Amino acid sequence: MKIENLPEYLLLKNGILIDLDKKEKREVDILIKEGKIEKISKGIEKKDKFIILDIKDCYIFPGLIDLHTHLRTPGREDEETIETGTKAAIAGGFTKICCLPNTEPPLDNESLITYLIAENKKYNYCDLYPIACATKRREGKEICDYYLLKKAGAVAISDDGAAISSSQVLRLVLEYSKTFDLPYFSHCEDKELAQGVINESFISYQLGLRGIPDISETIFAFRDVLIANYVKSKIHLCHISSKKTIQILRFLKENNYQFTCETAPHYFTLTEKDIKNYDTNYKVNPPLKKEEDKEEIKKALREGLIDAIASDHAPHLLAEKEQDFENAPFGIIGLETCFLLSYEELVLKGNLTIFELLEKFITNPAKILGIEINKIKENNEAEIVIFSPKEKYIYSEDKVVSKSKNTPFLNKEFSGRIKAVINKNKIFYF
Amino acid sequence: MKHLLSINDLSEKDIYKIFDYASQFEEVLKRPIPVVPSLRGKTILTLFYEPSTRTQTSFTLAGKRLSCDVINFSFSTSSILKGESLLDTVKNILKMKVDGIIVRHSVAGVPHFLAHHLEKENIFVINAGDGINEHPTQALLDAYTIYKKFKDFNNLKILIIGDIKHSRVAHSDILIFKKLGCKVFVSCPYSFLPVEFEKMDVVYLPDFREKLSDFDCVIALRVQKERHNFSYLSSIREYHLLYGIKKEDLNKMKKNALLMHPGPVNWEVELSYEVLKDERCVILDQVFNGVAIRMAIIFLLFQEKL
Ligand SMILES: [Zn+2]
Ligand SMILES: [Zn+2]
Repeated sequence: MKIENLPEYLLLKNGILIDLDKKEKREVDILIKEGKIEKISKGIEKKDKFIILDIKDCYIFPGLIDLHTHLRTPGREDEETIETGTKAAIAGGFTKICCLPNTEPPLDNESLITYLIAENKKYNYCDLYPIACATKRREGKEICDYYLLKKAGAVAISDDGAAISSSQVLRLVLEYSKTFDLPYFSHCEDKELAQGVINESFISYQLGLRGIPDISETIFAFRDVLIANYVKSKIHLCHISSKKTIQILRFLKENNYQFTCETAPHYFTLTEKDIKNYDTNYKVNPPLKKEEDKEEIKKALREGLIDAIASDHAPHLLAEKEQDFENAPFGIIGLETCFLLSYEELVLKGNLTIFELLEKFITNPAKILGIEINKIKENNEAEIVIFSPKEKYIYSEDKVVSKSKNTPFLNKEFSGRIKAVINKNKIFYF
Repeated sequence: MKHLLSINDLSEKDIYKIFDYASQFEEVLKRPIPVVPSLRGKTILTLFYEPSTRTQTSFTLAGKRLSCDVINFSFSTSSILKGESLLDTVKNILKMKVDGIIVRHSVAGVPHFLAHHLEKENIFVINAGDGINEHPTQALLDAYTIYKKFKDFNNLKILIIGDIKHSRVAHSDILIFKKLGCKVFVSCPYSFLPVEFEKMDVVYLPDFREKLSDFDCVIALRVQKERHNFSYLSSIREYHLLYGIKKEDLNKMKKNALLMHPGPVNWEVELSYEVLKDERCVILDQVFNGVAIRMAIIFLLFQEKL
């Protein structure tokens, strides 16, 4: 990965602009002057000062938004830092990311939110939107100071990793957060039921690993949406992975319940069958499920029932992952492969058009967070992804930008490659 | 070097080869000096992260009868640092220049983990029980005990009673009996059945007593409360009433049937103490056969004949 300051004039030649409003592809040249889009049109004439970047056959679209990144800061900077995490985000085409509050200590007070935002400005690779804790110490008991958290820069609240088990506390969380228009990001998991390490099925029996029943997700998704709608608060469901959950969500949507939800690429590209030889790079929470769950997720993405695709980027040290399956932590890194996997599985296999895919990565996440998209328009700051859909790309170990390398997709050959990202007056090449 | 991590690692041919060697080693065990020099100079290590005097002793004896040096390591569960110490274990094993390791651990997949990290070395790994996953040598000795009696597995009907979901013995037993052509039945409360148990291709009997006269072999499993976070049982009393084999049950069993238990028995739970006197009860034969079977496995792994 190479990072350079933008030249005074940069001319992108022959790119294919993906216009999200008109839903059309257009061949254009884009002239960027001092980080700002000066002109978009066909056949912009070259002048002496211009640095030319020929991007024939490449797609151009605005930076992607990730709703679910674990930056591990503060507390676990050995696994990821703001510097390495935001770089990994850029490498994956994301220019705006949300970081979740399950850190050590957790993000349950405004000073930590202030710290994260200030720290991110030092590197200034991408925009960082912290999500604060819903309850103090993520214990599911006392609610946090949402006003102060929001003022410091938090865009949502969540106790990710731990679901609030008390329905009464959840009601309070949702009512209080409504006052400040902060969406609640729900990690749907009935912990009492979910005492295992992989999906409970014949495969968990064959491997002798304790199983997590798929309904543990469904039950809490159902409950959380009901409570949120009862008090008319904004709820977003994280990393949906099971067919049963989708069936229930479909029912709720048909009955006009309000909610948004996301899934992560591993839930529509992998299944529990991939967990061979106790490889802990397949240990994720919620766990990988069956073929039918995978298909249902793709169907829900096509239908628009699932609004967004998030990375659920969860870096862990090799020393932690390289141990027995029970004791290894849940989670895989995902920022760098999130879009590539989605493009390959969803667009190339005919599930979504490129426009629909970018809705899941840009338009919908922005709506969920209530933030503006920086469109590719004249006079806007350049925040552009240059993606080559025809190139092959092997994601080998030396290419990993994240500080951790825990991914089952190492050495996978992708169809499509992120060539460069332009953001904050910088250009990042890969 | 090949390992023995799962019954799935063995072909039917391998299993009969193990039986064949086991019967030869049985002869050795009956000699006044029950030792052969086959593996002189070799060293094996038993690594028991979960205490089991019986299994560890059986492996130790098996190794020593083959003139192998056997070093035993036991860890009390509380004293081990979980996780990364496993890789340290691998590094230590390499420095200690042992030829084979026999491992028991409370977590499924640990023997696979060690085998994976010792892949390039000339060291075999035997799974002596990993969590709720498998216990292949127990299954082999169970099958061998049945083989000695019937000499043919085809159409034998075998009933396994107990916690099918959390028993590594049941898991390995079902795999081996099905591989050898038996019909396998299980009986237990529903809370002891794995989900999607239909895929196991076994017959579930809520009440085995109705069919007790059908079985050639009945295996009662040890109730292991320690493996559960909380009780799957209502009470020991009710379990014994419903799933314990009592003297009157023996009357319903075939005259030439076998009654087995992997041991140690919780008397008056899985079995009434009286059934021990019945000649169909072969629990102690299983213990003897266990040494012969383990000698065969260790020997064959060293000879690379599996
Ligand atoms: Zn979560
Ligand atoms: Zn998460």
